[in-house]
This record gives sequence, C-alpha cells and structure tokens, in this order.
Amino acid sequence: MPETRSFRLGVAGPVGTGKSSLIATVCRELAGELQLGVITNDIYTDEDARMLKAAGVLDPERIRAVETGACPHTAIRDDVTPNLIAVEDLERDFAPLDVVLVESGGDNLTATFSPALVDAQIFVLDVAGGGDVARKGGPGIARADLLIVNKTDLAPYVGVDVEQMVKDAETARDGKPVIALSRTDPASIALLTEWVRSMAHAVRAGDHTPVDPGPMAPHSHVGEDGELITHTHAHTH
Amino acid sequence: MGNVELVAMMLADGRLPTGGHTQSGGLEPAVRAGLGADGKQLADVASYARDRLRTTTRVEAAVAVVTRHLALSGTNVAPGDENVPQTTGRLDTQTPSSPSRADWFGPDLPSRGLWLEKRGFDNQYPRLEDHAARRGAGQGLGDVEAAWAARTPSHVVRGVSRRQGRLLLRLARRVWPDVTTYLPNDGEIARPVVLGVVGAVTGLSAEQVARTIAYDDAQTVISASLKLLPVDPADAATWLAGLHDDIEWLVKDVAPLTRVDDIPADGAPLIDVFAHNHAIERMRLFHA
Repeated sequence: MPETRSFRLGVAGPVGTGKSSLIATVCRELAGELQLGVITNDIYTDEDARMLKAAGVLDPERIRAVETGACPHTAIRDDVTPNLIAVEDLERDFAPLDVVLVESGGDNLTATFSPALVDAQIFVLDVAGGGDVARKGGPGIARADLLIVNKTDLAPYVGVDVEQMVKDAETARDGKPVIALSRTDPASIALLTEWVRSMAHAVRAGDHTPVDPGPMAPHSHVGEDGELITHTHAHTH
Repeated sequence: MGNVELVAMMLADGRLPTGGHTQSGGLEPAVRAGLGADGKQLADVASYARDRLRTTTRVEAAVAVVTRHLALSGTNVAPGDENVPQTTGRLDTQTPSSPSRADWFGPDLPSRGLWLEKRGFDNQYPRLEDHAARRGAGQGLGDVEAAWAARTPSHVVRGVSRRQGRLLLRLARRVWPDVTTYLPNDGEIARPVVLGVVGAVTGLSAEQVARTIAYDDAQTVISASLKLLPVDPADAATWLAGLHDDIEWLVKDVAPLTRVDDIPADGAPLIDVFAHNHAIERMRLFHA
C-alpha cells in the first residue's frame, strides 16, 4: 500500500439514520490521534458537507462533497470513479491521511459500497426506522463490516426493544459486530471508535481483505433434491 | 483491438463508468432559469440539446477529431500549424472546490495569474507537453488543448470538461492502455482530447469520434431531463431520435478537420452564465 493510501471507510444506510452524525462523532473523537478526511455523497444538496463543516469537528477543507446526479446507488457501486478521484485527491492534498470516511447518500437497504471504493464499510440503521428492519436483513445489514443500531436513546419513544433489535441483527450477521449506538452514551461511542481504530490498524497492516456485501441478500430455496440451499452470493438460478 | 463499432458503442453507453451520471449537460441550471417553463414547454429540452450541437458541442467534436488526427499522424503539429503561437500547453485546470461567490463578484476581476496562484493550479498534474516530450508522442496535443481552452471561455465549463476527461482517462488507461502513449496516467485534460486519443488508439474513424461526442452530449441532456422535468421517457427517446439529423450534420461538418486552426469557435454565452450560476448553487442534483 502506498504511503499516501488511507484506510477508506464507507458509511451507508437509509436516509435519516444518522450517517452524518456518526461521521461527526468519529471525527470529534479521533481527529486528535488520526489524520482524517471526509467525502460526502449528497443527493440534492451539500447539506451533509455543510453540517459536518459547521460541526467544527474537522478542518472544513478536509470535507468534500461529490454530486451523484440523483443516483446515490450508482455513485458507490456501479460507477465509483468520481468518488475514487475525490478520495485520491484528498489523500494527495493532505498526505498522509490515516482514514478517509466516505458517506453514501441515504438510500435503501440494498445500497452497499463496491470494494473498489472502500476497504471496509459501516451500515447504519436506527431504532426510529422500526425494530423489525434488522430482522428483514439485506446485504448491508447482513454483511457490512460493522452494523450500527443508532439512536438507542430514542427507543422508549418509538416503542422499540433495542436488545431484541440487536439480537435480530446479530442473528442476521452470523456473528459479525453490531453496536447499539447513542451519541448520549459514551460507552457506545467508545466501542465505535475502538472498532475504527482496530480496523484502521488491520487495513494498514494488510490484514484485512475488503469484502463485498453484495447486492443480493442471503436467501434460501429448495434444490433439485429437495434440500434447502442458502446462498449469500450473487448468482443466477 | 476488437471491433471498432463496439468500441464506439461502449464510449456512447451511459453505463460506462466515467461519471456520466453526474452530468446534465448544463440542463439543470437551464431548467432553474426557466427552460421547460415548469413542465409546460417540455420540447425546450430538445431545442436546448440542438443548440448545444450547433455551438459548444460542435467545438468539442472538432477538438476530438483534430486530436485523433494528430495522434495518428505521428503526433507532430499538422502541416500548416507551424505558426501556431507557442502556448504553454499547461493544464491550468482543476477547480478543487466550487469557487466562492466572492471570486466572481468581487470588485476586481482576478487576473489569470492570480487565478492560478489562488487556486493552487501549479503542478498538481503532469502537463500534456511534458508527458509528450518524455514519451516522444502526443506532441501537439497540448496545442489542441490550448485551442479548446481558448474556445471555452468559462473556467467553470473548462473545469467540468477536464474533470470528466480525467474520469474517462482513468478508465481508458485500464481498458485501452495504449492511451498512455499519448497521455499521462492521471491528469485533468479536456474530455474531447482524451476521447480523441481513445479514438486514435482503438481505430475509430473521425466520423465515429465526432458522432460519439455529439450523441453523448445530446443523450446527457435528454436523459437528465427525466430527473429534472415531468418528461415521459418515451418522449425523451423520441426527442433524441429527432436529433439524429443534427448529429449527422455535425459529424459531416467536423470529421474532415485536421488542423488546430480549423477548430470552430462557436459559443453559447448563456450556457456559460448558467454554468457559473450552477457552480455556486447549493441545491443541485448534477455536477454540471
């Protein structure tokens, strides 16, 4: 890995689940120890980039917005070129950066990053979106490197059982990490920053191979011999 | 090398990963300025695409055609161009972020030198001519780029084309690695220059190069209209088909060009004004 190559961390998830807020939190907590940069993929405005700049958690010049032509899914998966160039320019202009966070435009549950763009990705859900979303699954929920169940402080107001939601998510993820996060809960923030730290270390050491969550959700069907076949990879029937 | 028709199809396909989904061909700011009359004059879209074919796109297609010719003809400046003024060939490119309103509306218009200095243009990217000198190929392409820049007065429009050129170059160096004989691995180079080189190394004819530029521009505008106005997709396809004659007229017009001096200098000032408005617009779907 060239010296100027950072750990590129994608943050995806549906609209309004707290992706920008999570990135602001990571910046606030880690800007003192890691050199950070941020690329936002807004759908219709540069609102996210402005929000992050206004939060004062990072030098505004290290936060750049990429337009997506109303195609947030395309921008992080089918055609990552504009994002790749934005990441590389940021790495060049502020070399050496340790981590570049790439925020996806809010999309649906099938939107995941191409491994050509990021080394690892976080998928963000929130309790306000409903307790059953984690159980529904999908590529980001099932196979992102980290799943965040965000805004747990709101759970009492929206009638969601956080423990159950996390348990559902862990079942869907086959043991991959899940963090129940609230920006008012320092212990949960510590879990998140520790994950980012250790993943940055693993990527730098060459111990991490980017995994594609894939556009296909794990699913089952009955095979020719009547046995139940479960796939987690893209395939044709 | 493969089949040249298929190469042309790939280059004209919006699914080619070169950031085409971020472009509206200036339609978004034009709609904001009233084009389409809030959906009451949708045929404006086709007229707008036609206006581009007759002005800015004609220039771009000519630049691509001449680039292709120079690349194929031993890369020296074509006969008759010996007296082309020495340009720096510098790629004074790259708008790292949207210029602030103050840059445009300040009391004094910034000089070019000031721009270069202020925007940190220096040496971020290899220059075409440096690359050509090192590789012994691609000489003259810097002159084409300079001629294109001289005919593209808006620095915003130049910045957009060079960004898109960089995206195309990035893909081309993987898919058609011969382009690196003429162009650096990375650089903000006007998209028609990059496309002209791709055409040269893949065996496209001058007509195919011109047609690709023209079709791509018209299709960029028309497909963006689906996101910006209440357009029936079948109507959009009908508009595009209706532009075929204009596209072929452009192709016949520019395909024979071989000299930098022959590149036309049509402009569309309102498109430039719209582009400048768009660069400082907060609510936007498309990069340009």
